[in-house]
Amino acid sequence: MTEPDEGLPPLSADTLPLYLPLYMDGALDQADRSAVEDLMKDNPEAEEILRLLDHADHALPDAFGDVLDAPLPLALARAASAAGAALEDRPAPPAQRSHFWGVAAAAVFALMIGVPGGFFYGQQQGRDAALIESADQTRARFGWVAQIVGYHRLYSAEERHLVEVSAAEADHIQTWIGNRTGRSFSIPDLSGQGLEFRVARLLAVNGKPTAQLMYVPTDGGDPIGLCFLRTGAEAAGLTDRARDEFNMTTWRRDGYSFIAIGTQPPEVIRQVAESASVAL
Amino acid sequence: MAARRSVVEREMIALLPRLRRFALALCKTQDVADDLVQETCERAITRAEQFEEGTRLDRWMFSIMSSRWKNHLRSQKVRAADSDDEVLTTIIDERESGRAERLQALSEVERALLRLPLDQRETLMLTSIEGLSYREAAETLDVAIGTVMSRVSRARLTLAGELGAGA
Repeated sequence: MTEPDEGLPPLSADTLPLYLPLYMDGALDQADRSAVEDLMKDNPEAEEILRLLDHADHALPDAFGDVLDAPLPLALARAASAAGAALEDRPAPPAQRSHFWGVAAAAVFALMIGVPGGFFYGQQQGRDAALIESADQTRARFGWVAQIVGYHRLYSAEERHLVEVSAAEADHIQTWIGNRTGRSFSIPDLSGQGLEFRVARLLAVNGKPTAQLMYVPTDGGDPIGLCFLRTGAEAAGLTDRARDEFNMTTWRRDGYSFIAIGTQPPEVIRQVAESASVAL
Repeated sequence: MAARRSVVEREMIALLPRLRRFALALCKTQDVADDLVQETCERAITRAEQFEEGTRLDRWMFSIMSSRWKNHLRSQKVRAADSDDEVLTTIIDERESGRAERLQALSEVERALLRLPLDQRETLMLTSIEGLSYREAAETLDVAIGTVMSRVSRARLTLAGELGAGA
């Protein structure tokens, strides 16, 4: 049974601070949003609160991040394996969902078991030795880029899913992602490159919120993805790379790392990156 | 069937780092958090038939974990002690048990987060760190979406105030 609503008090000058985090998230309806903006006029205190909220929101996603890279205790891995075996007896889920989670889990799993000293080194050495070696190599060579390749392969195969997401929902996700990643951004207009924006998503790469913007060519063909996350890395210009069947252009700015990825030729991906980097 | 079992196992195992992170935010000490994660996984075994097709395993596991921890607190009658004093006691206990290094490594935002009331802390973890939407967090915690919005606002304002000096 859902607990009673402990919602916010009515909006007023006194309660305005409680509405500011929701205002930043774009979570208020139009009436409340307009009322908040009226109360914020000539209100330096509210502006200061917004500044402090922005500072705290930037720090939050990294909280307890070191836990994600820590070796797993043996008992936990055993308990999870047992739970997996129990769930396996249930009826099969829809094929699309199974594929999604299979690929996504495999990508996270492959990176996770690359941590030295983890459970799998002791318990499943034979079964997963090749995967461990592969994950280590992948992690060393590509880091977060390798994970993006995995996600892009997933979404490239999910055309049905792409067309099921409405434009209105994408707008909402855009605001949400901007808040979660701590970066305000505009969805790049890539119509000049013959691309139509279809959907924005929030992924988790090494536990960090990662934005993914997917575009499809108006004349057909494979989708192109734009991804970014906060890494704290130093700024770097556009760099062209290739991995498996994908071409990529990466760049870094303001402590964020960006990538444009697709199966199109390198020069096409680079043009997309050049255009997108203006808006992101 | 073997392939599907492998996928489910990997999905559950792949969740463990995030489950440990969420548990640490709830319990405040890693040893207790790991016990809670293990209990959550074991609970998932016994409740496997309740896992709804088409829903996300991570949200289901977070929901189980939250309920188990609150049940534990109620049974121990220590929920009222979930305050700054408890954090201080926890820190002292950690130091005495030789885990000072971990605590010293806590960032300013982590310390501030651990000082939040439990309800605000877990809601903020789900929305700002695990990336759940307000509606998803409400469903996960079995509370109204207005409750989630209220908790998130209060928690973020508190954090903003505490971290403000460094802004």
